[in-house]
Amino acid sequence: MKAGPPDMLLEVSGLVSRYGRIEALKGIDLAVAEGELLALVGGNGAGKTTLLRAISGVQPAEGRVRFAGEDISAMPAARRVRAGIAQVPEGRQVWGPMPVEDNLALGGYTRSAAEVAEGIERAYAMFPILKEKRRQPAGTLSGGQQQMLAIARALMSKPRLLLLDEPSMGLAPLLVQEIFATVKRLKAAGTTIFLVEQNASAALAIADRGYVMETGRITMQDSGPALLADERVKAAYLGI
Amino acid sequence: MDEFLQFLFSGLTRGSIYALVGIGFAIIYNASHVINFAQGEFVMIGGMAAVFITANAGLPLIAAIPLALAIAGVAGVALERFAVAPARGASVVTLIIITIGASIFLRGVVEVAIGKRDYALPAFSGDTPIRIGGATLHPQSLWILGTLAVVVLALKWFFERTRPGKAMLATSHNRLAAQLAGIETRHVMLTAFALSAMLGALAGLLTAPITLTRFDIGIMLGLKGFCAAILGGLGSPYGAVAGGLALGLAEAMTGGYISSAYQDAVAFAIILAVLFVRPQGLFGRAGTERV
Repeated sequence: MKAGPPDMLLEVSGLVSRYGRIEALKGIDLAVAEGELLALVGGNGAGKTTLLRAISGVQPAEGRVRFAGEDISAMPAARRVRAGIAQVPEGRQVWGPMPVEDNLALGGYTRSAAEVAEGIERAYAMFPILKEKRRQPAGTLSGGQQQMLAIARALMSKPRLLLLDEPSMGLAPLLVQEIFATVKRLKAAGTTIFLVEQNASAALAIADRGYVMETGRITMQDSGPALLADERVKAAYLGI
Repeated sequence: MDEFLQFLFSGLTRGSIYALVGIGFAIIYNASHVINFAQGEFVMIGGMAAVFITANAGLPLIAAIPLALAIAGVAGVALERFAVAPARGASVVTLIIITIGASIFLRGVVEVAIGKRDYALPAFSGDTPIRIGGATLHPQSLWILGTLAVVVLALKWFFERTRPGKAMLATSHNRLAAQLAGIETRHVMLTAFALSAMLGALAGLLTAPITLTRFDIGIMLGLKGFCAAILGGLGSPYGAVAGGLALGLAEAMTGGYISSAYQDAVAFAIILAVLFVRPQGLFGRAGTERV
């Protein structure tokens, strides 16, 4: 255990983003420490997806984003991937008509051929079902398999920070468990993870720290277990 | 029967040209969702540039061809860089109007710089017709058919085997996912415009020896290529090939058996019929509107 404040891998300050005249992010400040599993929970339309998109650079935003000590606010999306930020977008967004293996290979677009080959082997070891289906178009996979593919594809770029947007959305309970187990495994392997979830109880249960977001603002932050026990969080997001 | 064979040859030849133009529409549409109505001008630029280079610079045809293709490629990149990219985020209708404006501009530049008359390019391997059955085939037709075959195979290789090709395909399937994978979607757009421009120019080069070329040849060829592309289902390069060949054959048969006066009307009739009856084209998937 390191003494003092941990090294912040990602620092976001005063982040504002708009869709037309509507402010989706109204000045977000947050930080993710190296090796941490951070959960961001909140209702529909709170701005969670917008925040992740702004961090990845695919959504215009004002304010400052620092990654690994470097200001990346003006950096285009492709370079942020090279810098070490990967995102598993909401709704999986696999390349449906392309074979599973091509999806993986393109996930490693920023990596050398050798690293891609190695990454694909790692992905198959992690999700054997993907190996079985490697020649099938990704669109023919089930929702859970597509989610595994989306996660494996993001890992292909060897990210230092993995942004996960609603990985459990639309999945059967058993698959949700499997996805969360995967997230835990990734954390155990040392990946820094920023997890956005509507399934607040599951997300907070595995998170080191959590943030609660409402209509474009961070309204609460605490350790995962503390938020899980908080009466307001329980009432608003856990349906207890 | 001999008559039919003759119409068949003619239809396949012109159909191959439409196919090449149509592939260009499909590639740009895939990468950017823009229907590039300046596509016909690339056809014109290919033919006119080759004419200009052989006549004025005194270079042999074999050297003029790659140069003309390169000029068209540069024009394609310039179109993307200076006309389409600055309007990023504008509505599709705006982008289409921009490409129409660009096509008028390109036509005007060539009209002023080279001239208004018809120009001919020498046939690649002579003008002695080949007799097959009771029909004749111009040797240039073989160049045209052969080039289309090579282009189709090369595209297949490009999209299925190479990194930039796969990146382009991925961008067309899901742009957001492509950006998140670190694919430079800006470069993909430039590549798509350059590739389409060169394919168009190739069509212009190949057809110039038989149909002559002039500054405004791109209007009609562009429309025929567009017809080929939508008949094949806009987003599909191979669909455009089928659409182009079908259009060429339909035109040749109409011209031969009904009246050549109606020949050019076939493309328009097909465009209307496709849009009314089967907007996704023959091979396209049913349209899904992105929200």
